[in-house]
Amino acid sequence: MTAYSKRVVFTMGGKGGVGKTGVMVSLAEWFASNKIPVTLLDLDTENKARGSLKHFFNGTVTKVNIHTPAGLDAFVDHLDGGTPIILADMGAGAGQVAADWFESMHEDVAAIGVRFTAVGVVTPDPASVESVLAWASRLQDRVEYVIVENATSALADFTYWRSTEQANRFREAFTPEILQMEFRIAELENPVRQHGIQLGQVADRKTDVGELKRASLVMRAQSYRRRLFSEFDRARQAFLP
Amino acid sequence: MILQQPSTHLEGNQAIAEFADLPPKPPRSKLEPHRELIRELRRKGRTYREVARLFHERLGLYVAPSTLHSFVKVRAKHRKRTQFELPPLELAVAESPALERIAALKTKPPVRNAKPTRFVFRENEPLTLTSNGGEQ
Repeated sequence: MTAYSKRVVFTMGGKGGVGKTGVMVSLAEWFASNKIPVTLLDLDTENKARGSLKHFFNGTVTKVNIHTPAGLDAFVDHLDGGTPIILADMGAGAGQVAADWFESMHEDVAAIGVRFTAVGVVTPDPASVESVLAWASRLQDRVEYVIVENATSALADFTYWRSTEQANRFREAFTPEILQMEFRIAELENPVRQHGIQLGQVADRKTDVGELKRASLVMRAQSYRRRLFSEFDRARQAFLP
Repeated sequence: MILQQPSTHLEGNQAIAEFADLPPKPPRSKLEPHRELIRELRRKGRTYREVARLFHERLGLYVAPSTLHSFVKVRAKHRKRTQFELPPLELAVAESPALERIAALKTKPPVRNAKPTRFVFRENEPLTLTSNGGEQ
C-alpha cells in the first residue's frame, strides 16, 4: 500500500476567465494561514502578466512552460526535496498536455506517494461546465476532484452544472467536493485583479492601493475570506497529502 | 448370442508385478562378452571380415562376418532407441534458473494498462438538461 506524502493541486484549464487563478490565489492564502508551505507553479502560458498566478505572488512563483516534450515533469522535479504540496495553475489549452502526461506518468508518480487533485471552476456559462467534463473524461479517476461554483453575479444560475445529465454522470462517477465561491462586488474584485493584490492583503490592510483601504472593502474582504476558507476547510482532505 | 471370453491376459500393472521376480535372461550371443572389442576394432576401420579373422586367430572363436554385422547393427539400433527414450530436453534442463525465469515470464498475465473508463464526455455534444430541468 502506498503511503501518500505529496499532493499536487492543479486547476483544470480550458475555459478562460472563469476564476481559476482567483481560486488558486485564495487556496495559496489558505495554506499560508495554516502555515503549510507550498510550491506555486504558474503553468499558464496564455496570461503573460496580469491575471496569472505570478501576477499575484511574483517572486515566489515559478513559471513553467508545459508545452515541451517533458510536459508536466515539473511536478516531479519540484516535489523532489521540496514542499509536500504543489499548487499549479494551468492555463487554457493545457488539457491535451495534461492528459498525455497523466497517461504516461501518473502510475509511476503515484507509486512514489504523490496524489493529485484537479480543481475545476464552473460558472453559469455552460462552456465552463463542458471544459470541466472534458478534462474529467481524460483524467478519469487518476485524480480527486474539487469543483468550485464561482458566482459571477449576485444571482448566478448554475443550471448547466447542477441539472444536466452529463454533469450528473460526472458527480456520480467521482463524487467531487463541491465548494461555493460567492459573488464579489466589482469595487473590490476589479482593483484586486488590476493590481495583483491578494484578498488577505486587503483584509489585513497590507496594501498600498488607496481604493482598497476603504473600511467597507476591508470588511468585505474579511467576510469573503472567512467564508471561502471555511469552504476550503470542509474539503481539506482533497488538498492535503 | 454373445459369449464373454474369460480374461487370460494380465492387466498392465498386475503383469509388471507378476513378472518382477523373473531372473534376467543371460545374453544370447557368444559375441556379447566381446562387444567393446568389436566396437573398438570397427572404430579403427577394421572390416567385419578382418574382425572375424582376428577373432579366429587370437581368440580361437569362429564367427562369420555376417554374424558380426548383425550383432553390431542390432545393438546400434538399441543404442539409438535408448537415446530417443531420454526425457524431453525441457524436462532435463528444467532446473536451470534462467529457464525457470523464462517460463515464469511466459506465463505472466498481461498488464492491464488502461483502467476502466468511468466517465465519458463527448465534447461535441451539447449539455442535456435533466427531465426536471431545474435545481436538484
